[in-house]
Amino acid sequence: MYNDAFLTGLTALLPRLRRFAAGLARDPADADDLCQAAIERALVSRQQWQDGTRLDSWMYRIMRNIWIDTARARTRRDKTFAHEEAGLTVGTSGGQEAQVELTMVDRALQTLPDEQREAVLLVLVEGYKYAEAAAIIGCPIGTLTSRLLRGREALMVKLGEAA
Amino acid sequence: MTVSPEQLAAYADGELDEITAAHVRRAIEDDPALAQELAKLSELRSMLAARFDPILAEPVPERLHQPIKSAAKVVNLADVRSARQQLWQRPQFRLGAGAAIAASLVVAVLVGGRGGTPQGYADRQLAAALDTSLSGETAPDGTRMLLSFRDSTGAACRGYAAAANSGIACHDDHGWKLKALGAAGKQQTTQYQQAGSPDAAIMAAAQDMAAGPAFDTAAEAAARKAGWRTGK
Repeated sequence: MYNDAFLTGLTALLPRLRRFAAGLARDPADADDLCQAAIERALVSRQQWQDGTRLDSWMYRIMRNIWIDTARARTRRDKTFAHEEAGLTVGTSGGQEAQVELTMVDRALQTLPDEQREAVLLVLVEGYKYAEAAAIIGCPIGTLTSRLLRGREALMVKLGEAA
Repeated sequence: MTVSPEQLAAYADGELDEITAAHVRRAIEDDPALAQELAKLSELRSMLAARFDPILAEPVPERLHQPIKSAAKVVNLADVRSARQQLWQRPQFRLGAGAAIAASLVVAVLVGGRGGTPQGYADRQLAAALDTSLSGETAPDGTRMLLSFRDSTGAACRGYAAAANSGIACHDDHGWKLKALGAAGKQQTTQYQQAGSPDAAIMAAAQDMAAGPAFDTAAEAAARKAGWRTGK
């Protein structure tokens, strides 16, 4: 499509990046904004991408970092951060405003701590191996697997209740 | 053998070596409860796939393609204008791909004149900032000057970012004609938008319009002294 492997590769990744963003963004309406921010940062930082290494992992890491930074900023700003007992109502107000319907899966994901959520998404949705997911997050594999285990168990409980 | 939850999950994820996987497989065959746990793991995967995989088939919004297209354009311009290396060596232009974020820029928009200024020209306040502020400075009204350059007709042009909007204006006999208008310098942003994108958009548009390098400090001061006259 482009006479430029980086831009062509980035374009090919867009559907997957949108999928990852949809899982990360607390409000589904924000997913494409997160995606766009990741693309823009990637274009600015393309010198840092090493030819021959995986563009997908690199892009996922960029998006994940933006998401984490934003979450931190938001947590500082917003002291009414959802608590565990808020359960199914977490995140619904924003979703309704944006007229985006939250699925049961979305709501269950939103009750997970960020670290468990990204582990679940990278391995179970994006299909990364433990080692690859740990590299994207920048944590040891053991940390990744324990986050994944806890996240997965919490999701099964939540979705089991719903079913 | 006993199978830990970690092992069962790793088995479901295909992360176990062959020998361990074989052990787990036999344990599952012998233990219906374990088999049920495994079924739950795979059901969770299916539920997640049902929620997120359809996104792969959705059309990608144009706004996600746009920054990539703009970046490609900048790259091509770089080839075409290799003779004008100087332009690209200017620090203002070396935003490179960052300057490609031109999505929010509308080129050659006419805005209604206010306060007696002709249609399509900078109003008095903006004109004052364009007349007097040097690049990098912020005028009393908050307008920041980004850069100055000459377009193909020799007109002096300036990129600016004001509170209400950002843009490029070129000087002619009637004043500062607005050539491009972008988003506000302090626009309402959604949480994921990066600050500074409007500036980058202006830089990208300036790249397209400029006939030569952006003014350095001395050239800009000289142009100001000359009243931003059209020149070479």
